[in-house]
Amino acid sequence: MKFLTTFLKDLKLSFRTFYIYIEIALAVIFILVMLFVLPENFTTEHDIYTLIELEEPAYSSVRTLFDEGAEADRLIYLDSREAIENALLEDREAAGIHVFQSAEGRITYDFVLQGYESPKLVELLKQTFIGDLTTYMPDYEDQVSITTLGGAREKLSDRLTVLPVFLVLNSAFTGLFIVAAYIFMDKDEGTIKALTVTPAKISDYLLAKLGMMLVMGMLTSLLVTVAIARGSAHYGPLMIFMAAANLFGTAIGLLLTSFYDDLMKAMSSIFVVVFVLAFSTISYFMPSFSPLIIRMIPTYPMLVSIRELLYQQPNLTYVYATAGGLLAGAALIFMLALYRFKKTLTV
Amino acid sequence: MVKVEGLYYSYTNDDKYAVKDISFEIAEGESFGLLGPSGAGKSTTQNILTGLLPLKTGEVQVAGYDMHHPKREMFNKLGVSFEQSNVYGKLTALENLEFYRKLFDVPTLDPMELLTLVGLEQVASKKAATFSKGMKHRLTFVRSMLNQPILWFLDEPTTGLDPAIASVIKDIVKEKKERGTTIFLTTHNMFLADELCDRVGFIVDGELRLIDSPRNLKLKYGEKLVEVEYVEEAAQGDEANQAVAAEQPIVSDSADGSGTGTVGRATIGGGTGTGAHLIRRHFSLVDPVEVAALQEVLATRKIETMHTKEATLEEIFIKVTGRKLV
Ligand SMILES: Nc1ncnc2c1ncn2[C@@H]1O[C@H](COP(=O)(O)OP(=O)(O)O)[C@@H](O)[C@H]1O
Ligand SMILES: [Mg+2]
Repeated sequence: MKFLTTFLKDLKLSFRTFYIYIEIALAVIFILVMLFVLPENFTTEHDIYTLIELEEPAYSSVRTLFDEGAEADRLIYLDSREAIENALLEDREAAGIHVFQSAEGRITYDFVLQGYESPKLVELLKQTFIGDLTTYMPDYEDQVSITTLGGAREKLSDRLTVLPVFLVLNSAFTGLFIVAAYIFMDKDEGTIKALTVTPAKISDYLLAKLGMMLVMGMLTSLLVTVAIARGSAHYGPLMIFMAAANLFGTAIGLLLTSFYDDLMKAMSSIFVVVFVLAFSTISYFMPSFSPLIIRMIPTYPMLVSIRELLYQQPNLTYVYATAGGLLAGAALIFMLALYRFKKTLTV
Repeated sequence: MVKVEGLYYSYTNDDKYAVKDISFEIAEGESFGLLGPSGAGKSTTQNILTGLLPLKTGEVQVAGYDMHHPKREMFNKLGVSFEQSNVYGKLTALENLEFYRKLFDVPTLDPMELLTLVGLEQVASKKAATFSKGMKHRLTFVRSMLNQPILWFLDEPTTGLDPAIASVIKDIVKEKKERGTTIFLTTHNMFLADELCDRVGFIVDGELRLIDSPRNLKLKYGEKLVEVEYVEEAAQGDEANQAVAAEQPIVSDSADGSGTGTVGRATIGGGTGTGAHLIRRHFSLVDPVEVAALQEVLATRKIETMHTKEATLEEIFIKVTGRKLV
């Protein structure tokens, strides 16, 4: 009841301060940039992982053909079929080509694709690599085989790939800043003291802040997701997940603010935390660089989970496990924050 | 209602105590005032009593609750008005009170009536951020009345307010007191303490020097003051006055109670250019230095009037603590 009262008051207050409008403005700017400034896919260049398993002189002639034929696309030579498949799993933009001698002694070109490429693109790839061969090799027979990798996922457009970054940023970081700003506003005005001499509990106070940030975060998350992902997001699980991520971010914000009595002093710590949390986006965008230390930053599973929810067939187990972890973390951090606030609120 | 025993508090957790070894009791229905200059430790004491500061050393009981383990529910019985007003600037005056009243589990007063009580009814739907300092203070003050507290804490309830508002607030407190509310107030205004308090405690440098009723204090110290009016020639007077003033601050009966020890003085036969002045001075009969000064005045000056005078609380404060109430 007191929580509800405080929560409603905080909600009312939040619409009378400019922080909420910063959050909404950021969301709108993001939407505009994504929809109208950037193309759906940012790059058109793709890596092609290549393996040529042939004896000389066939090896050299195929290699020369490849090097001359592939202009825009970048060829990366690997030394095993497995390496190609792993590379493709990591780099969802790439394709692979495996050239080998079949049992009948024929030179066989096996294109290794992600599985979502259009037939047109497949044809284009075929032409690029082996178009010329037909003229050079009289006994050429089109025996190209196409292998789709098992367990491969559809590829998201770049626009959709960036969406999780915004959602994490919005919930985990903006939330952190804004809740700090609100708490310091209360400390500054001294209204926290006024609450301390009522039967309301400090937990009511902090939970109200958590609730207010949740409402704000969910509103802006939903706004951005609808605008960018439209029908391709799984909204139910996404909202559940975003709630967990939001609570986690706000809880960190509450804990941080408990150590300071004004925003300026808290700023440097907030920046450090945000910087660390933001580090995971590197591994998110460059899967080949994902050391354990980065994957352990909570925002990494957040990004991966949200991306998961943009696929047609999301791995819900992973998403819910991550959400559960975030909630547990949020609860723990909240308890710590509560303990800190009880001790330091009024000094 | 309140029982404090051996209370110490240090903000820095060392032996720099903001209050030290404070003990007092407040009976039910009594109004008790801590009187002392700024920085004496009044707010610190109130903040410990209201749970805003943690009780570390000493025993404190408030409304039957041990402040080592304060309970949230005790605040249904308490009202706390703050020295610095603290209301939500982004909420209107009425919204501030409407929100606050919902935090209590006991029947509350009507916010609009409270606003009317302190003349804020016209600005009830204005955001508190637009209020003057005095308006915010009044809002903070009436907010502390919402839950009809049986124990009411008032930290400097009239400080910084214009006299008209201060007297409104004084009247409200008086009325509540008459209806049986127990009151704890802190102030450095002796008139307020004199008017509102059944008993006052003099606090200086965190130490409680004396507790008694204003009446007892005046009876005890009052008859020992003598007010003398005498004529003084300009030339001899300035020297003598300065000499005496330097030895002992003498309080004038200026209206705001912030007397600075100046000597009342009026020019006699203005325009004649003789420079003769009528001097009014107070002499304490307990202070040998002043007694000597009085004797000198009696022996050497022309006395116009002379009578014993009831001391103000402020004069008594100065006598007892050797400090002024600023
Ligand atoms: N938050 C604080 N931190 C450190 N020292 C404080 C704090 N508040 C007050 N003090 C010190 O404690 C002493 C008593 O202050 P206070 O109780 O506010 O006095 P009063 O209310 O009588 O003016 C002063 O010396 C003051 O400087
Ligand atoms: Mg004070």
